[in-house]
Amino acid sequence: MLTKVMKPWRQLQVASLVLGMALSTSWAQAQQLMRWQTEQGARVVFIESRNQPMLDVRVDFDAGYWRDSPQKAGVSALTLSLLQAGTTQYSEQVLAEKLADQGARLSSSIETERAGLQLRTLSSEPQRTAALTLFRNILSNPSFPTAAVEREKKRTIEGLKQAETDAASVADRLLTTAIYPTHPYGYDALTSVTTVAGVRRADILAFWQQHYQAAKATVTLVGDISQQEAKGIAQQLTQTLPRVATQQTTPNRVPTVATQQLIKRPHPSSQVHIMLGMPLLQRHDPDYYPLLVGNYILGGGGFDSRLMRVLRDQHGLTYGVSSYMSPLREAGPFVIQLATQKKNADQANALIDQVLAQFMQQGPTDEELAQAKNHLIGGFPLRLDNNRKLLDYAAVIGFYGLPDDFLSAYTQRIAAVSREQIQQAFGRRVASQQWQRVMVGVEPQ
Amino acid sequence: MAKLFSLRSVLCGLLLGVSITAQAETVEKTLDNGLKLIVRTDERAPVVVSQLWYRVGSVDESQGLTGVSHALEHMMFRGTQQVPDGEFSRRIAALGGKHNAFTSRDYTVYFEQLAADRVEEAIRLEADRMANLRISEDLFSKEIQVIREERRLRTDDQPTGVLFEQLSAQALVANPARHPIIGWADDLQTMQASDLRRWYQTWYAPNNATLVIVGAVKPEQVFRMAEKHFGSLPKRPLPSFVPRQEPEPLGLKRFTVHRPSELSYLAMAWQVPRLLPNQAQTDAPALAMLAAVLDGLESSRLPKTLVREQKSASSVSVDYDMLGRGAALFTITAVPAAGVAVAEMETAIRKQLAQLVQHGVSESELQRLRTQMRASRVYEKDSLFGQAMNLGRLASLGFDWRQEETLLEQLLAVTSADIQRVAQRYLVDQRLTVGVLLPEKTTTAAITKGAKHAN
Repeated sequence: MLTKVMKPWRQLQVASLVLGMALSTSWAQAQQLMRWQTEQGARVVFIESRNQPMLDVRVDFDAGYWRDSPQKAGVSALTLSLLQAGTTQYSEQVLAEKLADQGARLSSSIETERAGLQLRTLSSEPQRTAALTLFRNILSNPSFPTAAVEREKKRTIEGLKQAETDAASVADRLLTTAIYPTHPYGYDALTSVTTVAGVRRADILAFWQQHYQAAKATVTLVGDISQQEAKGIAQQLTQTLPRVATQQTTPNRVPTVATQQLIKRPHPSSQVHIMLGMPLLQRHDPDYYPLLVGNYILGGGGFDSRLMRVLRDQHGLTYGVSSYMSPLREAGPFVIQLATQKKNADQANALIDQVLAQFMQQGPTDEELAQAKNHLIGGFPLRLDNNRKLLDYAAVIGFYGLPDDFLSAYTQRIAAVSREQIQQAFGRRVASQQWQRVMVGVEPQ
Repeated sequence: MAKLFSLRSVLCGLLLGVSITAQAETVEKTLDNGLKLIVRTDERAPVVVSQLWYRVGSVDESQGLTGVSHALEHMMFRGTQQVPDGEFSRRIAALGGKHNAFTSRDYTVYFEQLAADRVEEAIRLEADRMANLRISEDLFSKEIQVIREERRLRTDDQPTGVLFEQLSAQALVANPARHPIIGWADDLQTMQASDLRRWYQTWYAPNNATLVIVGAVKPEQVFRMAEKHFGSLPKRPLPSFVPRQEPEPLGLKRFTVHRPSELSYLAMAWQVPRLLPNQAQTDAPALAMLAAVLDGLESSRLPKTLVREQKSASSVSVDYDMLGRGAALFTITAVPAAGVAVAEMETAIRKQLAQLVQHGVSESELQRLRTQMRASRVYEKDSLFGQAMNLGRLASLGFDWRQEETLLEQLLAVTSADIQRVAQRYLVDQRLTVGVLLPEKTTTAAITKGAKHAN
């Protein structure tokens, strides 16, 4: 199936999903979010949802890519994937069969700061208890079999080699390193055949013991259970996690990027992949809303954005162009990206520069601002219209410790953004740094 | 390694979104002009999804015109007399909505997701562009460039994009399912705005469409809105076009493609039947269950044996869609692990198939799949979009949406003997095409000494 560009939407959603659930309707108020901590210090977020006889549970750890060391980049992702490779009680195959026999599904996800597992199970008994028991077993008693470690290393290495043949992946890695040359937010791009080949089982075990602890966990539950039941489940899932004395650390500030760079790489692809980026947005950021709304207008709003209108609709240069801001504890990336055939790369660059310069100088128009607000406020219910979305959104609130008033204030905060605030925020924050630009797929010189 | 959604794809979405009491809250109606309406009330959130399904896709295309359905889908966003270029997107966005469209072999679908009290605007805009589209030469000349970029991005620069395009073209000789949905590159060079206008005139009529709406709405309310906005559009005679049948396959075919890639890929595709509406006897459900036994779950046979036990494959997947208007392929794709030759990979897969034919499937394997299918019925109701997809798909392919239940029962009733029988009958060399993608050694690894300057 061919879909028109969906990616800008997805990015936007990630950014704004966490902002709150402030509809004044009875529906929104019914989505009560409850928070507490377990005895071992895990943060818990729970939303009771009785519509379907099912339960979603996420357990996330502060164990994303940023926790790797540059020399052993790749350990974080390997640790997460190997959690399901067998426990002290069950083999990998038996685990997979037992979960399936309950009708349950288990998946994992890792990003710059978070890594975790997601379980979806029926809420009926005996399925629910059986599935949660297996989940606890996977979290607390992984055996990291040596054969599975070697197999996953090999698969990772093959994936890395394949990524080198994909211009978009090459561009993404180059840009990440250019934005974060020394900061841990760039460690994902340091994962290489060499670093993965050097990983030992002991590295994985140590990583798990250090980072998969209750005090670093966020448990998120959405579904057909009571708060009392949720308390019991969260307690059980986290009470047997590893306990090794470690210090709680958080990422350092991201240094400002003061030098502009243009990095070009030849590639046999028919298109040139162009990416521009800089470190910018934090989860707790005084400019959060002006930057968010501004980005919608610039390139986050899909077909409703300036970049898309100019580069795709007016000039037919690309299938999709977008900008996104991924907020992290420290400055997360602000990225503009597109792909176009080789001969149009210079024209595309010039148009991006032109759109950006105009936006930086004049900011959005009143009409654009009204449109962006209408969209972001009017579309709010769509961000929370099923259990899966509620789960992901509640997980972000829990992990990043976003305040409770975040929930009730979303629409007001968007509504309060002015043209001047957007222009000032972009002027202060974006203009004070230098863009890193990557072009992969240029003709060899 | 996560296999979360493969069961769903193997079972072709049939099991998605079946509500436990769904039938009570789903209502169907056909307007006098032939537009079919299906409304399902789901009031969990104050939102709605609207999907307009046109029964036209790449299997309806002919020589020289491949990709015209998809190109028209793009131009549907570029303006009518009342709603000029860019306005459709702007208006839906202003309502807080999301919208998009997609084209498949069988249908072209336009969708909007928005607050339930705004649904009438989506209906109004869709009715407008069903009848009043303007395809200007100028905008077409821009949009066709966008489509060529889409082809470069998704097919030409993706090793698997090229492999799968070739696989359909090699495995099938006469049926239009051999053509890529996006169209052959050369057709995208010669296509004219007038081709799209003709296509629009031919296929975009109320009697060739189904409007599916799921969300916090009452059926009567939607019927009134649909009548108001679509009711005056005239019914039109539709071509009595039936895609050319694929002749019986005559023997094993092999082909190779070379692309910039680090990994090799093996694809084995057998020509198999589909499930057709009103068909009494069919092997399609057994083929769907065969696919699920092989790769429906993380615990299924191929990931278990090839990836985890023998470690001969880096990944493996099985694909079969029992619904569709064009010719069907049952496809196994594998990436051989480093150091494993493609031929060894093929042998290992054949061994697994032979074992299945010989010994059948254990009751515990089948029971596990049935349990997952029943659980899917609950899980998939979480997504309004998924529910609408399911209803629209069945309706567009000539089924009654109520057949969700009976189709599921057909799958649940499949036995080990059924699976053995269809494997033995269809997964034979006479029906097989084997495609191999081999690395062409001109990757970045070889030319990685690029320029890096400060600017």
